[in-house]
Parts: sequence; C-alpha cells; structure tokens
Amino acid sequence: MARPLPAILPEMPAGVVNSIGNSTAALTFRTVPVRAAVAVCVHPLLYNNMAFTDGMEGASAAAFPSASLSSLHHTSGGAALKFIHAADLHLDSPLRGLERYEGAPAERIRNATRQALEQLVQLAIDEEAALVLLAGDVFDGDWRDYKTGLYFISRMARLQEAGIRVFLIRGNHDALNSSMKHLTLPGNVHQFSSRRAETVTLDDAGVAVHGRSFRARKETEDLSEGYPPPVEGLLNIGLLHTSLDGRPGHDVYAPCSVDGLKAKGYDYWALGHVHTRETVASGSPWIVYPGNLQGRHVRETGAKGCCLVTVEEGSISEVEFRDLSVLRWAICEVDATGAEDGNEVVDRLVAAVDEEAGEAGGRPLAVRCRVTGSCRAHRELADDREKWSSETRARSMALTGADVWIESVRFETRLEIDLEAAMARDDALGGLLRTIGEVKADDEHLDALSGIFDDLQKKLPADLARGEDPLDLGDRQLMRNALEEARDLLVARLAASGGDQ
Amino acid sequence: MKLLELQLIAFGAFTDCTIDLSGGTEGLHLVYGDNEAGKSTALAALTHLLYGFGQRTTFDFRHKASDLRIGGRIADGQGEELAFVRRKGRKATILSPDGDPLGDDALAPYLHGVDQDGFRRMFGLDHAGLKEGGREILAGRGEVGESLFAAGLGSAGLLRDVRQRLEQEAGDLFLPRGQIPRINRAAAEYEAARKIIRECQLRSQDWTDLEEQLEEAEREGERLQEELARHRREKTRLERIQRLGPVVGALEKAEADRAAMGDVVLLPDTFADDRRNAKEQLKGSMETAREAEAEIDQLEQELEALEAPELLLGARAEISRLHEALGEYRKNGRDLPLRIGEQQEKNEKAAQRLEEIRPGHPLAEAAALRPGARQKGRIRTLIKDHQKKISGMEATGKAIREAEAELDLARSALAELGDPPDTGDLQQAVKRASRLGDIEKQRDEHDTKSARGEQVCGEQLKRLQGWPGSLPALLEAGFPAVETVERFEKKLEAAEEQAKQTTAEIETSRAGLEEAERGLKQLESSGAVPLEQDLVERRKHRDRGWRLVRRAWEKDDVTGDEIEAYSPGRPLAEAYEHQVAQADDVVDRLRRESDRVSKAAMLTTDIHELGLKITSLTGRLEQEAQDLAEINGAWETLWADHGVSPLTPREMKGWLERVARIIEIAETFRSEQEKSKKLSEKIEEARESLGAALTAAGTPALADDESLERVLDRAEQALQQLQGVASEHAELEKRLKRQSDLVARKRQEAVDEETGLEQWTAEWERALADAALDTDLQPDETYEVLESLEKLFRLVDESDQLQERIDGMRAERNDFEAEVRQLLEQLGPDLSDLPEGLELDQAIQWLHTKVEAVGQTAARRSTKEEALEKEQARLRKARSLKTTAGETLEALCRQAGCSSPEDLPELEELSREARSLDQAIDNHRSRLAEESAGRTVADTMTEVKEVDADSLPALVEAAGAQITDLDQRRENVANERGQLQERLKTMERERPATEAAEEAESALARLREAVRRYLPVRLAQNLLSREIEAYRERHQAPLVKRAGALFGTLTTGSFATLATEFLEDDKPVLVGVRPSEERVNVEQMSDGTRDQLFLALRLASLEMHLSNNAPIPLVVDDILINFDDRRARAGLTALAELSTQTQVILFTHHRRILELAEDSVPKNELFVTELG
Repeated sequence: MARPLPAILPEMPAGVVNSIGNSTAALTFRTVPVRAAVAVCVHPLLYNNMAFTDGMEGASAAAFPSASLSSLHHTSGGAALKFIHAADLHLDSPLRGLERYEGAPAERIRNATRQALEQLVQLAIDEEAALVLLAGDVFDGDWRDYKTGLYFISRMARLQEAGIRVFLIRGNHDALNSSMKHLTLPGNVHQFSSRRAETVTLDDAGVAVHGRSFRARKETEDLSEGYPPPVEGLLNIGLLHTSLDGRPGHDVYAPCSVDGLKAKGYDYWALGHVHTRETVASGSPWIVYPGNLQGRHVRETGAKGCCLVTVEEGSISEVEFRDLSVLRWAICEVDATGAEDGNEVVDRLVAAVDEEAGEAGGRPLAVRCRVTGSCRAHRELADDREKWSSETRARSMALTGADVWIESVRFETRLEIDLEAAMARDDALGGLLRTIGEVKADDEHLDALSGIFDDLQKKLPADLARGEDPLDLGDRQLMRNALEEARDLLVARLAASGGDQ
Repeated sequence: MKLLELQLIAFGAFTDCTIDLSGGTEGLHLVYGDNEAGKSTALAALTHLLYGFGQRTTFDFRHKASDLRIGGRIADGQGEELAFVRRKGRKATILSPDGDPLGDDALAPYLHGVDQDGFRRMFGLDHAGLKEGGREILAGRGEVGESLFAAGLGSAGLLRDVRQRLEQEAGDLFLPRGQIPRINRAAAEYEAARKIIRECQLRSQDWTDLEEQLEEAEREGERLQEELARHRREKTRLERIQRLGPVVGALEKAEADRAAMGDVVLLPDTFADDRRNAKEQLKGSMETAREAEAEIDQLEQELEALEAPELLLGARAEISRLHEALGEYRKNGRDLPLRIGEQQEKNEKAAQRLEEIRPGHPLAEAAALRPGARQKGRIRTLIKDHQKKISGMEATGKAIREAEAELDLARSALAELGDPPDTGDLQQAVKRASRLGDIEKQRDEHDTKSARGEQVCGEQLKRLQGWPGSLPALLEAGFPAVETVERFEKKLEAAEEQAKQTTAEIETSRAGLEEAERGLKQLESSGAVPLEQDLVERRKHRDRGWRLVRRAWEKDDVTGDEIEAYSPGRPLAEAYEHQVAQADDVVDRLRRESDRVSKAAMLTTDIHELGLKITSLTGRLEQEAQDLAEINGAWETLWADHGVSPLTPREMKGWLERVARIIEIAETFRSEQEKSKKLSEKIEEARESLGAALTAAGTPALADDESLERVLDRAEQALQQLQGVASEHAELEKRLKRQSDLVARKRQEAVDEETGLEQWTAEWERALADAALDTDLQPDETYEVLESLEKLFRLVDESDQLQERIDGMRAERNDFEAEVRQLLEQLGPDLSDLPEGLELDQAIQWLHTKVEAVGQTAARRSTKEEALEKEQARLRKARSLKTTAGETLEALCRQAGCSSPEDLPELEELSREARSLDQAIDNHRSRLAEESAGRTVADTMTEVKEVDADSLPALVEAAGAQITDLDQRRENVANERGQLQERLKTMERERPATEAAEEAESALARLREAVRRYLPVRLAQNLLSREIEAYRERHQAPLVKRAGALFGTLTTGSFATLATEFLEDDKPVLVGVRPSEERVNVEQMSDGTRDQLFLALRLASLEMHLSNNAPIPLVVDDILINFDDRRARAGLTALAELSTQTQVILFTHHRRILELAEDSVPKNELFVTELG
C-alpha cells in the first residue's frame, strides 16, 4: 500500500465562504472538525468519510496542510501537467441489443463499461496525469447493485496508490441512483457539493477546479450561473453536467449557453451528459464533451473514450482524444442495387463490415447492417431473411475472425420490378396483393388485424417497448412495415414458378 | 398475345428451323416430335424467346452460348405484330430481325405483366403438374377454397408448400402456450435473467450496516486488548514476587553462615582427589613389587627342568622335506620297470620299418635318413613344377603346328593375287572431275538462258519504233542521255506553260474590259453620270459669266455679242444666275451621287488600264511562240545524228527506257553465252584426263559422245574395283607377316621350355640326394617313400622320449637315497635311539616322528622365557611408582600448610564448606537480578518484603481468572470481526449482476429479432388464409359450375358435374356427381380421375382469367399420355374449346395423340407441326 493521501479538501478561506455567503456553509464549517476527527480516528487514513452526503463536505485545512499536496506529484516546476477528462461512464449498464450467437465475441466484451474504466485508470497512470475529472453519470440511474459502487471505489483506490487525484460531479443518473449515495470514496476523490458550486485549488499543480453536482434528477436551472469567479494565476477548470442549449437525443438538464460559459473566464469547461464527443469551443476557453466512455447500443457509434489534456506553462497546449472503448458500435449501410442474388448481397455486406472492422483498431465491433436499394436479389432475401442474416454473420466471422458481432441485419430492399403489374392482374395472386394493399391503407382494418397478436402481446415483457430500439405491437408503423414484409414474403414464395419446366 | 412463328435460328440441335403457329384465329397447335426430335428444346425455346435465356443454358452444345438465337413473331389482340430475335446476354437481348436492339421492354405490351414465373405457372401445363394437382386435391380432401386458389395460382404443390412452411415458421417462433418456440423461450430467459439481477444486486443499506458493525467490533477489540494487557502486567508482577520470596530468604541465611566461618584456606576442587590418588599409588606399587619378585623365582626353576637336542631340532625342516618326497620315491620305484618294457617295444617296431625302407641299415643310424622339412617341401614343389612344365611344352608344340598351317595358306593366297594395281592417276582424275559438280547441267542452263535472252531481244527490237538498224548498231548508237531528254521536256513544258498562261491572262483581261465597259454602260443608262470635269466646265462658264457681270457692273463695257456668245437669247443676269444654279446643281449631284460618280470614275480607269495590258500581253505571246519553235528545232537536231526522228521528249524518255531494257537483256544473254563457253572447256578437259586414266587402267577408251557424267561414273566404278584389289593385297600381306611372327615366337618358347626342363631335372636329383633318397626316384614314386620315412621316425622319436623319462626316474631315486644317508650320518650324535636295520625309507619315517616330539618341548620353553621377561619389567615399573607417590604427598602437605598427610582430610572439609556458601550467595543474587526486570536487587528485595507472602496465591489466581475472561471476550470480538470482514469480502466478490444484465439484454435482443420475424410470417399466414377464403367466395359458383362441366367432358360422362358439400368442421369440399346423382368425394376417386378434376379446375380458372385479362398462349406438354383414348379425345376437345379464347400449343411425343387429335378436332381448329 502506497503512502495514503491526505484528503483533498475544498479550500474554504473566508473570502470564498463570504462569496458563497450563506450561513449554512459557516455552520457546516464549524461542525466539521469534530466529525472529521472522528472519521480519521475510525478509518486509519485509507478512507476518508466524505462527500457523498451533503453537508459533509469541507474539513479543517489545518488538519491536512495543503503544502503536503506538493509532495505528491509534479514537483518539477516547468514540466507539463496532464489531466484527464471523462464523463458518462454508466458503470455496469449492460450493452443493449446484442443477441448472442455462436462465435460472437461475447467473452471479450463482458463487463465492457468496467473494462473501459480500467483502461481509463491505466491511461491516467501511464500518462502520469495529475488529475482525473469525471463530469457526471458515473453510474447508471437504473442500476442498483452496490457492487458496482464498490468496484468504482477499488479503481479510485488504484489511482490513489498512483497519487492521482479525482474530481467528480454527480449527474442526472447519479442523482437518480439512491444506491450509490452512500459510497465511501477514497481520500483522493473529491466530489463536489450539490448545494452550491465549490472551488478546489491545487496551488502546487497551479489548478483550480470548480464544480457542482446535481441534486436531483431534473436540474432545470442554469447551474453555471452560480459558479465562482476564476482564481487568479491558476488554470481554471469548470466541471459541469449539462445539455448546454440542447443536444438532440438528450434530455434538457442544467441548461446554459455557450456564451455564458465563455463569460466565466475559465480555461477549460469539462462537460458531461452528452454521449457524443464534441469540442464546443477550442481555446479561450475550451468547452469539451468527451462523450461517454463506452458505447452501449447501436446509437452510440464510433470511437468512445476520454480527453487527455496537456497544460504547459499555465495554459492548455493540447486536448487529445483517447479511444478507451472495449467494443465499438457501427452501422453499415449497404446499397444492394443491381445485386442478382442473396450471395451477392452478402458479399457486399461482408466487404462493408470488413472495412468497418478494419477501422476499429483491433477492437471487437458490433455492427448493425442495413441493406437498401432495389434489386433482383430482393425475392431471395424476402423469402428467408433469417437465413441471410445467419449467412452474413457466418461469413463475417469467417472473414474477420471473432472480432465482429453482427447486431442485426435489416433488409430494406425493394423488388426490382414494381408490384403494380402483378397487382393489376385479375388472378389469384393479384387479388392477394390488392387485399394486403387495402389493409395497409386502412387504420381500422390494420388495428383489427393486429388482434391476431393479442396472445403474443401477453407474453412480451414491457421492456421490449422501451429503450433505444423499442418494439411496440400497438405501433401502426411497425404493423405496416410487417405487412410489407409479409407481402414480399408471399410474393417471393407464391410467385415462384413452382416447378422446372 | 399470339405466337405466330417460332424460329429456332441457332438453339440446341436446331439451326434455322421455323415452327409456324400462325394458323387459325388462336388455334390448337399440336407440335409433334419423336424422342430426340427436339420437342423439349422447342418447348424451352418458347420460354427463352419471351423471357430471355437466363444466366446459364444447356442448349449451347452445338452453337456457342453467345451465338444462340431464337426468333419469333407475335401479335397482340389488335393485330399489331412484332418480329424479333432473342439473343443470350444480360442486356439488350431483344433484337429486330436486322439485328438492331429493340430495348429490353419491347415485349411488355404483349405480355401484360405476366412475368416468367407467372407464365410458367399459369400458362404452362405439364404432366407432372397435373399429377401433383391431383395429389394435392387428395391431401386437402378436396377443400374448395384451397383447390380453387391453387388452380387459379396454377400450381397446387406450391400453395401447399407455402402454407406449410409459414405454419412451420410461425410455430417455430411463437406458440401461445409453448415453451420451446423462440419467442416463448427468449421471454422466459429474459424473466429468468431479471430475477437473477434482482437476486444478485447488493443493497447499499446491507453493505453500510455491515461496515458499521465491523467498525464497532474493531473498536471493542481494541478496548479489550488494552485491558487485557493491563491485567497481564499485574499478574506477572505478583507471580514474580511469589517466585522470589524464598530466594531472598536463602540469600540472607547463606551470607550469615559464611561470615561466621572466618578465614579459610580455599583448596582447589581437585585437592582431595589428588591426595587420595597419591596414597593409593604408594600402597599399590609396593604390593606389585612383591608379587613380581615371587613370580620370577618360580619361572627360573621351571626353565631349569626343560632340555632340547639341538642337532635334531636344526634338521627339522630337512627331515620334513624328505618325508614329503618319500611318496614320489616309492612311486618311481614301481613305474620304472613298466617304461623300460614300453621302450623296447617301440624299438622293435622301428627296426622292422627301417628294414622295409633300407634293408640292412642299422636302426641306431637311422637318424641319417631323416629328411628335413625344407627338403620335403622342395621335393613337393618340384613335383608340381614338373607337371606344369610337361603340359606347357605340349601346348606350345600344338600352337607351332597351327601357326605354320595358317602361314602356308596366306602365302599361297598372295601368290594367287599377284602384284597390286596402281590407281594414282585414275583417282586424281576422278577427284578433279567430281570437284566440278554437275557442270554439264550448269552449262545447259546457261545455254537455255542465253537462247531465251536472244529471242526476247530480237522481239523487243522489232517492236522498237523509229529504229531502222540492227541490234549491234543499237548497242553502239550512244543515244542522248535521259537527263538531256528531260531537260528538253522541262524547257518545252515551261515554254508551253508560259504561252498558255499568257493566253489565259489575255482572256481574263479581255473579259475584265468587257465587264467594265458593260458596267459603265449600265451606269450611264440610268442617267448621265456627273463628272468632276463637268463641274470644272460649269464653273469655268459661270466664272466667265461673273467676269462679264462684273465688267458690266463696274465698267459697263460688255457687248451684246459677248452676252449673246455667252448666253444666246438670255439676258446676262439671268444667264449668270442660270450658270450659278447649273454649277451648284453639278456640285449637288456630285455630292448626292458620289457612289455612282466614283464607280464611274473607277470603271473608266479600269477600261483604260485593261486596254493597255492587253496590248502588252499580245506582244509577249508572240515572243513566246518564237521561243517554243527554237526549242523544237534544237530537239530535232539532237536526234538527227542518230538517224532517229524524235517524238516528244516525254515519249522519247519511254523509248530510251525500252532501249535500255533491250541493252540490258542483250548484255545478260551475252554473259550467259560466255559462261557456257567456259564451262564447255572445263568439261572437255575433265573428259580427256579421265579418258586417259581409264585407258591406262585398261578399260575401254573414251567414246566421242560420251558425257562427262557417264565417263565419271565409269571411272569411279573402275577405281572402286582397283582399290578393292589393292586393299585385299595389303590385307593378305599383313596376315602373312602376323603368322610368320607367331611361328617364330612359338618356336622360341619351345626352346625355352626345353632348357627349363633340364634345369628342373638337375634340381630334382639334387633335392633327392639332399633328402638321402635314391636319385633315380621318379616324382610320382617319391610321395610314398616320404610317407614311410615319416612313420619310422615317429616311432624312433617316441622311443627316445621314453628313454629320457627312464633316465630321469633313476636319477631322482639315487639323489633321494644319497640325501637320506648324509642326514643320518650328520645327526649321528642325537640318534642314539635309532633302531637297527631300518630301510632308508623307514628310517625317514622314524626320524619324522621323532623330530615332531622334540619340537613340542622346545615350544614350551620359549613360552616360559617370555613370561619371565614380562615379570622382570613389572618389577621395575612398581619400584619407580612408589618413589613418585611419596613425592606427591609431600607437595600436598606443603599446599595445605600442614606437616603430615594425616591432617589433610580435615582441612579439605573446611575449604569445601566455605566454597559452597560463596556459590549459593552468587546464585541467589544473580537470580534476583535476572527476574527483577531491570530493577536493582535491593529494590526487588524491598518489593518482595512489602507483600504479605500468605495472600499472594489468592491474588495471582484472581488475576489469572480476569485474564482468561478478557481473552475469551477479545477472541469473540475478533471472530466477529473476521466474520464481518469475510461477509463484506464475499459480498464484494459475489457474482455481479452485470452478467445477468448482459444476459437479459441478449434475451431481449433475441426476443426483439424473433418478434420482428414473427410478425410478417404470422401476417402472411393469416392474410393468405383469408384471401383463399375470399377467393372462394368470389369465384366458387361460376368456377365450380364451369369446372363441373369440363369434368363431365374429361371423364366422358363418368361424372356429370361437380358440387360442394360441407364436412363435419363446416369446411366446404368438392365432390364429383355421377349421372345417377351419386356423390363421390375425392378420396374415393381414382388417381387419373383426380388428375382430370385438377385439369378441369385449371381449365375453368384459365377460362375465367382469360375472360378478364388479355390472352397469353397456353403451353401444354404431353398432359394426355396417361388418359385412355376416350378421355384423351375429351381432353383434346376441351383444349380445342379453350383455343377459341387463347392460343393453345400442345407438345407431344406420342403419335397416338396426334392421330386422336386429327380424329376429334375440327380441321380448321387443329394445326400440326412435326419436328425432326
């Protein structure tokens, strides 16, 4: 066990207290020494019982002289300082939509979010980062298993051994998650208060970190407004969980404007909440969403990881993205126009998947394939989509090894010749097609037809209709699509010649 | 659509075969072909024509795939016709008959949306499809909806397959009360995983509660630990006091006792022992001395009593040796006479044998006869040599005789052949002639060439115009060079060209002139053109007027004449005004008509200039004509010298070329003549030299007309013959020489061998003599003699060996006896008791016994002597010890400070007591020091004295009980803590719920996919069933009625019609109705009847379809083969009936069908094509 770290505590000089200017803080300040003393007594310095319950934050600076901080890291004055900015870990929330099948790389991506965190920790150690900033949503709101919290603690302890300090704010998911409120974090971790914004200064590193946690799931106010003014002479970092002025696909939380953030005079805004990586502003100040650490479903495609920020001579010289994900998600769109048969379509699919896999840098890849276009192969595909899905999986595996997980193959091809002619004919098949057309066009008819799925509906869990890829039998569009598929299926099978003449 | 014509241009086995299908309005077209005639090909061609060849074809065995072509002519309902050709390919496969692409959708207006599959399914009828239809009707028990829909679709098996497959797929995915289908399973797995998640999740409260408990336990543990330590310390102190109490007491007593003893000489620990040892030593040594003296006396007396004879004892070894040799001595005595006898026997035998070999020779001298090993070897070698020599001599003699015979033969052959001929001249002549090669043919070729050249030359010369002379004259003529001719040609051309150009220029100028004149005239024809000149004139006139006016005005001297002259009939002022106006008018016109004015001026100038130009050109033309004439004159002159009147230079160029060609030919044939002549000379020379050589060789002389070739042949033959004789001669001479050499060599060999034999004989005799054998012994006798000798000497040797042994034995006996006697003599003094008259051997026996006894007495003596020596040494050592012990005692007395050793024990006791007390004091003190845990001994003693010794045990026991109690409590707390830690660790390590969550997500994904799959399948299944029912409802009445009528026809009245009935489950099914109203369900029908039922349904559906849709030809492939004749006829009738609605093309292999058709279908509806 390395030398235990003294707790990093918010510096509470009179000025700061005054600027916050609220009597509760003063009261808290008075009560703290006693509680802190007890805490130190009970926990032999390893754990510092702080910060996950409001009102506990703060302790006597005299108990842990800030001078001792300088002995931890970066004693050489001129060397570059590095810090890591990550957000939205959603620890232990499972990957969604991956149907297991023979040969899929299930083992390699087990506990993917944990593996990603492990890599984050390793990166911090390898890069000798001074701080790690976690901008909210460490945990997933739906996830109640306390072991997840224990795991997080163990990783933070590892950073502590390496002398790396961690700053985190709670995001909407963390606020939702009552289970993780009582975690006892190691002494190197500072969690910001949810009552008001705080500032922690690290004179030795030349950094001031400002932050505020979410108090409740829905923070509808602009939290950034209450952030303290920058500390002169230090690099000022703001840690904030926000949707800014709105980001598609993300709920509006802690709304604020880019201009408002810029006006604060900080050097770096470490944001969280939005899962897509985005550099909102680069320099004066930097405003960065690192995106989430590990994509968890097919809507979170591409490289996922954290930002490694280098500070030289008191200002930010580089913000570098590092891919830490264990599994990459991708959507392969393939145009099947002109394909003669199913095999040709699969050829194109597999080639596209292979190309995508080549870009994943050795990571397993989860791919959703979409096939569009009108082609002669449509009939063969419509006849047995499952067979062609399996074929695609098998062939991808043969080509790329066990690195690719075909999440699903969506065949959205059309018949090369249109159905009008067949529909227009007054014969048995034409009649069938006309009937299907009528049903599709008529909501009432459609609803009546949906009745045949009542039995099915009873068997399905409610979760199926929720989430990223909902499947709700009451959805008319779903039924219409299914009808089209049914039509194609019938055409493919009934319009065959039925023998070899 | 109707197919009018099917052209198998290049397809399968067909090339340019046309099937005419245009007959009738629509018509029943029967295409008949035997097996192999290509019926199937034609059938396939029909589909390919309309829908293309597809990717692969099996019909490219005769024509390449890319060459495959099928042509056709089709017509639509309105009589619009299209003739086209189909080729194999991906794009642009429809071509016009001329080969232009028509576009791939050119047939669309004729096909009415029926694709290839639809065409095959609905408009193709074959036997297999019919059988399948029958089977499916049975399988569906005649269910009306399905039967009708299947017939409408055209394929019964397909519909059934599709429905079964959909049902299968739906069932695999979901069953409302199943567990195995994928949806059911995935939903269950999802729930199971959710359950595991709930179970696996660790509640934060559980964790923190435990943590708090752990903290509490840890605090309690620490408290107990401290208390325990305190009690342990107290107990230790009490125990120490208890332990040290007796020690303190003992210490105090020992110190008092010691003080009471005062001063004591402290003797060393070993003192008493030393003293006792010295006393005992003194006593012991005195005793030992006494014992030793007594023993010595005893031993000396015993030794006196033992005496020993010295001589006898000294000879003990000798006696023993002789005693041992006694056995041998006795044995020799027995053996000796036996060996002597043996030897005598051998000698006798040897004497006998010697007598045989050499009578009279004494045995004692026999050794002289013994041959040595070397001599024997030599004799054997010589015997072998002798045999070799004899056979060698025989072989040589034979060889000489043979060689001499050969030699004689060679000699006579050579004599017969005579002298060798001389071939030198002939050979050379032939060689030279051969080197010339086929020279005569070459000459003939030259001759032919020169004759042909001469002929050609003559002909050419005859054709050369304007040459009156001969060929030689031509060759010598030396006509002008071509270059000269060309120069003239150019000159003439240039001159002619110049003249022509000038003429043309004149023409042009004249035309220009005429045009300018015409222009001017034209210009003037529309009114006079005012000229600059006119203005000048007018002005001049006006000015004249002005001058008059001025004069009249200023001087008034103008006469009326002048005025009249200026302007007749007008007053001056008026005239002047008029003139001014006139001048102005001219100016105006000049300005107004400036175009015309300038044009007129230009034309006028042109006319003038052109006139001048024409005059100049005419002059030049004349000069040029003169030049031309001069050149022509020079040309004529040039040729006049050669007597040739020339044509134009260009023609003369050709003429000269012809001349050059003639000359060339002439030169060639002359050179050929020359070559021929030279060759002839060479030939003659060769002939002559060959002739001479031949004559010399004695062959017939040269004939005059004999060609060189023939002479050469003859000469070569002769040469060959002569060379043959010469080589034979040489061969013989070689042989002669070889044989005579051989004879000489062999004779020499014979002589050498003779000498060798003589040498051998000498050596042989010498060898015999050396071996002491008769020198006249022959080699073959010698072996036997040698053997006899060997046997003799073997006997002699054996006898000698025996003699040697006998001698040895005698010598041994004598030696032994001599030794015994000498011994007896030597021992004389000690042998007083030797008995008289003993043999030597007995004497030794006696001596041996005697000396053994004497030896034992001597041994006893030496033992006693050793004992005596030992006793004497013991006595010496005892005396010395006694002295030492006395000295030691004296020294001890001095140390203890007393005079007598008797006082010593008392002093020793005092010293020991004092020492013992000192030791006890030391021990007690050091123990106190050890156990007082750092305090001084004095402090410890004080501490001990402070406590009441009697209450100590109770105090210690109480402290112990306290400790046990605390220890137990502490252990309990530790256990509790361990358990808590263990539980926390277990909790942390328990399977995280994440795996179950992943499994739940996977199950959800599976479920989602399966549901996605299930929806369309279930929908398709449902919709298809509904549609079948709807179809039945729409079409049942008319279809069943029409199909019933057709069924009646097809079964030729076996059934009257069809009807529907309901089964138990209310499903309507088809039944056949007999003319007797009897109803027959499909299960009861025969296979064939069910086929006909399906055919009836198909035809009825088709009729219904055709009544609403545009017609498409129905292609029927031999469906009637399993019908009996009556039903086949009925089938044909039904098809003929259908053919009023659409074209029906019936392919068949069976002539019977053809005959039946011709029999049953009206002529104007049936059209037959025979293939092959």
